[in-house]
Amino acid sequence: MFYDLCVPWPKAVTASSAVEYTRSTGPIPDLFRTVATLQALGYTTIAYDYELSGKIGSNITSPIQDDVFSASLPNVTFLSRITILLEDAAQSQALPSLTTKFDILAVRPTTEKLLLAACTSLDIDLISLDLSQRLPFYLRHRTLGAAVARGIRIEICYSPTTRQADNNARRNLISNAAALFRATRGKGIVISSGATSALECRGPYDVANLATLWGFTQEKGKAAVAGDARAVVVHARMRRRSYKQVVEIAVDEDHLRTADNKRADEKELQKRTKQEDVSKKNESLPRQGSKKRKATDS
Amino acid sequence: MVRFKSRYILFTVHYPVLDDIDAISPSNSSASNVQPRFQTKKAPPLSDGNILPGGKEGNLGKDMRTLLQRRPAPDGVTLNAVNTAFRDAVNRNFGDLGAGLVRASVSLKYFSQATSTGIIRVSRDHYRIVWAALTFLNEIAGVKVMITVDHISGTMRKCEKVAISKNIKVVRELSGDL
Repeated sequence: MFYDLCVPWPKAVTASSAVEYTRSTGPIPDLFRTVATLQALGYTTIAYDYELSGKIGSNITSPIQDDVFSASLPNVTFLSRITILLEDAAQSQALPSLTTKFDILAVRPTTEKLLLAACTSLDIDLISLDLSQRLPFYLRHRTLGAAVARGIRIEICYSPTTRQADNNARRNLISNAAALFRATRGKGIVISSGATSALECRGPYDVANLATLWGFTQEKGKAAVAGDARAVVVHARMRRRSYKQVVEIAVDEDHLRTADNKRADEKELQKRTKQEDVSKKNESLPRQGSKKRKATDS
Repeated sequence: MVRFKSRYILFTVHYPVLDDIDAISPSNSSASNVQPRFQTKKAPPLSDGNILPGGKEGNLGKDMRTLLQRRPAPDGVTLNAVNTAFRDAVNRNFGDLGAGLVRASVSLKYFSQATSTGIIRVSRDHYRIVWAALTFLNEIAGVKVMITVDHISGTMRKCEKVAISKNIKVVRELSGDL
């Protein structure tokens, strides 16, 4: 039960380009090698990550075809994720429209103000920082603690350590990861690969051991790859499919597998949540904090 | 008596991007000239040479996975090469301090070129240094590798047993359960 929540979806493959199965090297065969390696290493859930920066249009389509390798790797659950490079507060306005298109929402803030916004008010699942660079802000316990209390987790991508020949990136990653551990005391951290090639992947226990170098204990290291990562997936699911994480609309899981059915169900879900919105207007709602704990227990 | 305790690290070297992996799966009409390093006893039936089946040949995906897991070491990845490589890795990543801490106790006890499996012995106090160095290691004698640690134990016997059981599982997957 290990999760890898960041396998970058190759930029060259867009929603409209045909997914070609060829023997030559290319983005899709490379992606397959990466994903197959992760599967061989024991990861059971893999999330493709689409990175987006700049202005986000309201009618963006997800280029991720997460069932591309489902037939060859049937025991793996594939998810789609978007990471928004947050440079401007206006970008967060687009978040509601992205909920239906991607399974997991992640944000990469570039300034301290945006980090604070992400931790305290944005409706996201994951905060991902580029730890291979020197961060332009300090990681404070108060800010990150607020995120963890809301159920948002912070991600460390370990690929800079396994990528070749970049000592600076490796050192920055170790330094930032240790600072992150100090600021959060190890709670609410998720470690994922960010692997662009099969060479950068590592087994889950090896990753947990790396975490012990950054200050984690063995249990917390393992939780970062297993339990906390699972909590992110559950949090994302609750955010999409339930009303304020109180009521979940039971939709048949198998039914959701096909893309068409997925879209149809989303539409129905939106319709239903709108109706409930209206009916619940006069009732008092339970506080978000208490209910969240129930939704994310493992 | 205070006994000296050690840890035996069982690791496997993987070659996820080695080119002749393609040669192991049957090609399309133009046959490849490279001899596969080992043959599967019962090759799965493949109608076309695609390495990424779109659902038609689920078996190939499984074979690909098994092959990615275990394969013989290519030329150059010898016991000496692995020995030098991981000591270098300790040195590079942990400097003089790390190298010094493990120096007296670390030794490569076993490495098989047939299975790319090895066992390193380290003192119990500093085994994580060697473990992390193996994780950081990404090249041995010019070959791009990835190392996973399969088992860590206080005795060599247990590591051997785990190595044997994993190999049995791989052989079973390759030859029997399609």
